[in-house]
Amino acid sequence: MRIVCSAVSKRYGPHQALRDVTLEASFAHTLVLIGPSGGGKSTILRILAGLESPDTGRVEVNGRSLDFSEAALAVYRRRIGVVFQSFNLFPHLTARENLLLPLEKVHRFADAAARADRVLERFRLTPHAHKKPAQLSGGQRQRVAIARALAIDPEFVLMDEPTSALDPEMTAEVLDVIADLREAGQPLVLVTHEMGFARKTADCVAFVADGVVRECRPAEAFFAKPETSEARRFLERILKY
Amino acid sequence: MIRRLFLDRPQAPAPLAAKVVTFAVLLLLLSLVCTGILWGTTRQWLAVWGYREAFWQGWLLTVGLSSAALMGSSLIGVIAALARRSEILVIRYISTIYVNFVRGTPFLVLILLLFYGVPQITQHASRLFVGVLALSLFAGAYIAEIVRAGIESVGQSQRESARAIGLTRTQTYRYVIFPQAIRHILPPLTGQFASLIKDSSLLFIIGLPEVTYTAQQINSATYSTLESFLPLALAYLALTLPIAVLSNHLERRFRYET
Repeated sequence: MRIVCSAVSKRYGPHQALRDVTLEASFAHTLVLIGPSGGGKSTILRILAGLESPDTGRVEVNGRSLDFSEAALAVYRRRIGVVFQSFNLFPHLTARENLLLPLEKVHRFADAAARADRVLERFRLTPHAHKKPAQLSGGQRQRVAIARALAIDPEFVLMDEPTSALDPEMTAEVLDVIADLREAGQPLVLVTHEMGFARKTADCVAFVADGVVRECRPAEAFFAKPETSEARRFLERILKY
Repeated sequence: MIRRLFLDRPQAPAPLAAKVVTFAVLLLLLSLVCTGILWGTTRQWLAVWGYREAFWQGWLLTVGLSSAALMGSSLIGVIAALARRSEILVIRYISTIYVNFVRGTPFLVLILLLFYGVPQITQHASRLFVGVLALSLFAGAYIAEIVRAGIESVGQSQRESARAIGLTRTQTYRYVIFPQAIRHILPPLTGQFASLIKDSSLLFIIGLPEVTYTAQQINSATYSTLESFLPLALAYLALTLPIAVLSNHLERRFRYET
């Protein structure tokens, strides 16, 4: 998978979220965005998800330049799976219905039901298929959200801090699932604060701070010796405890 | 000890017997007061009984025009609520002006305005049509606010999620927003329907022979006020009490379901 951003800027009112971001990442499976909170990781992810348009700049995903008109974005969004920090399941629908909604209404798969059941099975959610999100644990909810993102066979999956709202045990449960995705060869862009996990699964790491991608390198090289002093300090702070 | 029995607290609810006794005593007191006031006067229940058929017809008209206005106001309410969220300024402003104008005007004034204010139009329309229209427009403005609050109760994250999985705007409303908003809308909406039924009584002013108008006619014919107006109150309660019970029930059901 290949992602290229050139001179991408985004401003929310007085807050400059991204300033002239340049990013060039080619990776087999997983790109991980790390960096301090409020540094712009989520904004980059939201732009890649087609949920947000940059004020200026160009974004290219797998060789295709993104068209930021709402109509084009609507088509683009259908090809990708997005998982949010706060699950964002539909509370009035059961786990299975959450999967079925995009399968039936957006993609109109003839085998929607079979697909949903297959994916639920794969994520060991079959016993919970008919429960509403309120009846599920946090970890189960996030697994349903991941299942919903994957059921449509997305070109790639974007996850925005998928474990930040979970306790350690549930975090492990969800990280296991994400690690399995890598095994299955699913291209993935992930924002996370789980450094140990990033180190293990990432092919490529982008360090984002102050609205800029400071460095973007193969994970091994990055974690062995970050090039920028900001990244070094960030890792030191985070790995201190 | 006895006094404590008549206190109803969340941590120590009153026993059923205390509730029954309290209710019975109140009923007894009320009947004593009524007897005291009415002692020595004569009641002409029989004279009024002769008009039961007219009363019944009036009540049926009240039920009929309330039902029609119920549908009309729901339709207007949903459209106005969606219009108030429109990105198109003209549409949003029309709806905002409508809602604020109607909510800031007494229903009686609205009826007079509609019926006598534009006679060029209303002289060709039946009283019934004008009555249903006035009631629909009036209740519609309140329903618009109820529906709008319901739609806005569905969080931004739900809309975002719907966008992310690729639902269109219409699909987002149909599959995500309305099914969730309905639990916030239904309880106050049923309450609004009870108001609508009560408000229909003001349509007597344009000579629509609904139940209030009929009761007044009976009163004029028999010179018996209490005998005409007490059944009138009961006739409205017969409609509004079941709705109030339903409204309470829905409120409880939706509160615990989330």
